[in-house]
Amino acid sequence: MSRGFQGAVVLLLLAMLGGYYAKLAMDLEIGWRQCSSDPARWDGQELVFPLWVVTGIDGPDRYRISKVVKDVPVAGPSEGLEQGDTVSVIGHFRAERMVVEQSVIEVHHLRPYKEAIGVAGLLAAIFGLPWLFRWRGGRIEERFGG
Amino acid sequence: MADLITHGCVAVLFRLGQQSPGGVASFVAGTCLPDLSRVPAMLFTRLRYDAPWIPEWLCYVWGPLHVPVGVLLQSYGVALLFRDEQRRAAFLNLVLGGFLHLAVDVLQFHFGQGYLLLFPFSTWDWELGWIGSEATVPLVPVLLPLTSWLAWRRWRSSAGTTREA
Repeated sequence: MSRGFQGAVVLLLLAMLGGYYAKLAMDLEIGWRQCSSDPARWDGQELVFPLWVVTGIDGPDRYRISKVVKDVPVAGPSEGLEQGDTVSVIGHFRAERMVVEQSVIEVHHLRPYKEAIGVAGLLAAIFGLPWLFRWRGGRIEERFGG
Repeated sequence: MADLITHGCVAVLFRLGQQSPGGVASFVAGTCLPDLSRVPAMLFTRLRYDAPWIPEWLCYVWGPLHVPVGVLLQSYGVALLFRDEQRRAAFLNLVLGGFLHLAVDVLQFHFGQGYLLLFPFSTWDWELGWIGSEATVPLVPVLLPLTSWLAWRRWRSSAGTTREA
């Protein structure tokens, strides 16, 4: 089998896996979307929002969080929270008020530093590539031997 | 996921035992791949706040690149770009680096939402939950110079010899 064919097969398999993953994530996840589309059924459902971003403060007892789904309303103390903070929230869906009632919150204060380190790592990887690998004869070669 | 620099340092430390730096670069590349390939997912997720017309699936399709099956496939794909004589070793290094990445990531705690290690065969998710998701951040200022120094000390002579050759 040629290298191009093998590469195409790998890409196709990854695309199929990606499509399946996206379908699972959008259809099966018990999250805000499912709860809000059928509130009576999901009243009281526990929901977990790991590493979501605060995208709005609506008062001392209410704020909004977003990830792929935008502006999920959370009923809970917003004191100390700022727009852009990363938080993890555990709460219960309340159908009557159409909110997530917060029971646990963790503010990830170090998240901006982690993101900055991630960007630095990305840049280091980009600039380190030519030092560690070279392009020869249309192929990658590891400089220090494979 | 832990930060990219921690992943890279752990990968280098993992290989310090060997005499020459051969294969370390592709091992480190392998440990970085699962996170690099997730950059589009993070970008699309952030962009969707202001551009809701971006389809949701674009945020999710990258997910398999961070599970074992995806690590195998992307490593195989990247290894195809290597010279014939290095390809097999590159594949092994990329895969093992990728698995080391996942091993470091499962140490973290995400409020019970772990990693889909058996995807696409199961939606069972798992993590050890021993450390917080930012626990590695304070370590980086120590870990990076320490790893660089150890790697330089360990391989400076052999790296120089290989490059001259």
